[in-house]
Amino acid sequence: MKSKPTPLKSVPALKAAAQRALQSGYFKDAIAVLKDLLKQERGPESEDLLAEAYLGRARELARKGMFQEAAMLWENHASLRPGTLSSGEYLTWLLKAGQMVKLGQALAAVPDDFAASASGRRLIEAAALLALENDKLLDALPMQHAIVRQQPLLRKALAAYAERRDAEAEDCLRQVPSRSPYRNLRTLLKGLLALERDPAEASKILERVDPDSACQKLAAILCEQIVTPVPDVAAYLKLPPKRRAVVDKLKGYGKKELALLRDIQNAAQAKGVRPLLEAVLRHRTELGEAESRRFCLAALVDSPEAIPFYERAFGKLTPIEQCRIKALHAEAIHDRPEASRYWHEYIELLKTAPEGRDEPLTQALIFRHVADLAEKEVPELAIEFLERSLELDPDDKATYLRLIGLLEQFDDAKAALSWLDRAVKRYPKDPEILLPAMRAAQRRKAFKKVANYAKTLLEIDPINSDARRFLLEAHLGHARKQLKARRLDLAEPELAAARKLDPQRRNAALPWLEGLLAYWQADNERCRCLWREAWTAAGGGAAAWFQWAIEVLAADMPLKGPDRLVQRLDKQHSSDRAELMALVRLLGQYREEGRQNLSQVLHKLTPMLKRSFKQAELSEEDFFGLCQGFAAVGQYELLAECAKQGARRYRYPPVFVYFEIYAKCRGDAAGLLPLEQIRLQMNLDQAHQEGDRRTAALIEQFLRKHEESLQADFHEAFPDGLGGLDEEAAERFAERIEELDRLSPEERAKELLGDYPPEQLEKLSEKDALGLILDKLLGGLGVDASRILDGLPLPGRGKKRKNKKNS
Amino acid sequence: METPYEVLDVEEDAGDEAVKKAYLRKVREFPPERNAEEFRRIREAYELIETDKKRREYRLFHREKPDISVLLRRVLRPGRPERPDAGTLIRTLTDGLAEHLSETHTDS
Repeated sequence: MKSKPTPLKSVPALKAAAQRALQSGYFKDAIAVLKDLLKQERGPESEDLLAEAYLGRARELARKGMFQEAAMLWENHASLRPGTLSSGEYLTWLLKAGQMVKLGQALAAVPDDFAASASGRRLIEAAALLALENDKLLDALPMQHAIVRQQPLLRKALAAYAERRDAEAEDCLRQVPSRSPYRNLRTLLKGLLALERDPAEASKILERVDPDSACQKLAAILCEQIVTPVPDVAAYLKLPPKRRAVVDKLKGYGKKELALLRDIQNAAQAKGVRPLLEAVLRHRTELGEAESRRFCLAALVDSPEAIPFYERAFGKLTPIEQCRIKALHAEAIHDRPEASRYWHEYIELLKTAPEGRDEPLTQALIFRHVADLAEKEVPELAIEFLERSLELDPDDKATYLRLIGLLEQFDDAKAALSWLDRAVKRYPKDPEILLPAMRAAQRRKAFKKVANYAKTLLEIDPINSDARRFLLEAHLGHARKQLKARRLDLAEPELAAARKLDPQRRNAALPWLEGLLAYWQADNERCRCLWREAWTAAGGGAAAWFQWAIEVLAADMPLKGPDRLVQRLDKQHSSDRAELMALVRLLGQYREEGRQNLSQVLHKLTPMLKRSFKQAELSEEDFFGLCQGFAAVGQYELLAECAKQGARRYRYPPVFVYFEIYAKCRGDAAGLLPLEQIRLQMNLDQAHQEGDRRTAALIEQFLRKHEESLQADFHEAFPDGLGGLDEEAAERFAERIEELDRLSPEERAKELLGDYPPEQLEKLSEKDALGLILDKLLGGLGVDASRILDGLPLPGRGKKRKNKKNS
Repeated sequence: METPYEVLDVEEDAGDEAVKKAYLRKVREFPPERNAEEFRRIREAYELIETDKKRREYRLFHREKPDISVLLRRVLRPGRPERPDAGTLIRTLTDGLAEHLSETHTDS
């Protein structure tokens, strides 16, 4: 807010106030202060400041559209700075204020360099055009000015053009010099003269009008509306009246058509679609009956309330068509439930429609469409619609794949498998179906099925590497199953088949299993030899030992015994980066295959791995991969150590803080303590600041799960103990819970236990913590919190943290 | 806005065969190497209605945009051209001068 200058007497005080006002952009105040100052002491410095204040104020007023005032202030400014030449902004303000005499006088004095500049050229062209109809401007210009000398030629050319004296017009235009301020008007007129004779030639001429000329817009409109065979009607309707009048003349549009256009255009600008429909109906003979009907029908999707009005003009719409219009309208306004309702109604109407329109295919298409609508908002709803669509039209591969994808997303493996089976029956030789079918069979260890699918795929595509890999894995998996059941005779052919698929013996699982077979056949020497080969193929070290142990345990054998036939890891062994990364890859692969005992086997490697984390040359990304692997298999001891070492080595990036906390909670978000929650929140902020979206997503997901667990606690844990609350107290209690529900986890923790310092909170027992919470929640409601507390089942080990975290 | 049936010049109750024939006829008329834009339009139209399933989907779910300019194109037929007089032309040019000067930043 601008402050009124207080009356100041002394010169220094006035000078200081003027400087302050100028620096703050309060030019009006600065002018007043400087005028006072000049009354006391005249001086070039103060006059210069006043000139500056005038200029600032002039620009301020020009921005508000007060051009006349702006021009006057500019003149005040110039009077204080003798020798100031007319500037572009001053000339523009004069032109915009309509001060033609002053404009003419000022134009006469513009310096040559300004006249030659782009803005100078534009201004002089504008003045030249104004001079065609403004004698005051012309009179104010000196006789020798280009505008004064050439204006009569242009006037003559314009009149000659309008009266179809083309030769005379062209003769006048030829006399206009190429550097004239009228040169663009000359080009425009040339184009107009060529228009009737040769539109293509006219178009070329009109395109030569300078892009920043005042004649350019009209030239472009002429090209768009007159030269083009099919004019752009939408652009025509947006033309300002004067430009449209020129187009109307040149096109020869009749009065009747123009009246119709005006009527339609007015209706289009009115609120709602009904006035437009009415206008179209009024003119439907001229507009065409069929076209009018089509337009009105299309408009109904935007305004289904106009259906009765449409029906009065064009006859009844069938209920089914009305339903379609309403459904599309609901979609257009993003009301998915309403759209879905109308589409279901459509299906019901289809069933009773005549002409045998109850085609299952149409119904199926509608279900798929409704699934599309639902998938973005409530994907689980889409499942049912897709299932129904496939019952009606089982011949749609894309829908099978979509449905299976959704079922897998919602962990409904049984239904996904059932639909996969149906899809395979429908498309038995389609790789798009066979590949997911193979993956699903692999996951549930249906090795025969995997092998069958893979064989079919290889028949269609013999070099399909996925199919080859799956087939090999199927044989190995089947061999594993037979070894576990001690059916050695059945394991042998499976391993033989695997050998054929992996002649290079790249897959280390093959010699591990062959070794196991040899072990059961009591051929220890062969077993030792095969496991030596496997050890090398697996890269040796921790990764090889891990793989061996997993294969032995998978065959339901103890590690003790067979271990004398496999290489041992040295007690001082420390894994290098390559070994650790091989271990990460194995963890990923085994987890995908659903293999057992991963955490248990890793546990046996704990001392060695802990040592390796400290010694190996691991990048931040390597640590991340290891942490992710340990987190995925639930090996929290190694996860904690790995995250700790990663954090130490890389200055505590948020991701390792997250993994440390994750390990501490053993992956259970419900077990998050308030302090850890705050630490995670801080690290989330840091991750966002650093643009680390991956870590941010991990932390957000964990915090979200924590919040969900909290909400479940609020709704599930308390009601049992609240039987004694009277109606009013119960209502107040519910309000408190609602208020807490609305808070973020941090705010909630602060609200419930904000009075306690974190170090004291850590020392609280579960019962005390819960007591404090109950006290906060039930205080003043006349309830004995200790009674409720006694009635609550106190948590066990896992729950202990869970309840503590409520604090 | 033309419907795909109009683009391909085929009846709305045409079957797969008729639609395909119409498409091929149009492609011969506008091969991509001669008129890429028209060919793209024809191809897009064909893809919308090439099978029974797609035609049903088009009939059920397509939303035609009510475009008044398409309707008015029929009305806006050129008549006998006239020439605007000098005053009309001058006023058309001087009408938006202030706006033109602001747009071209003369007063900066």
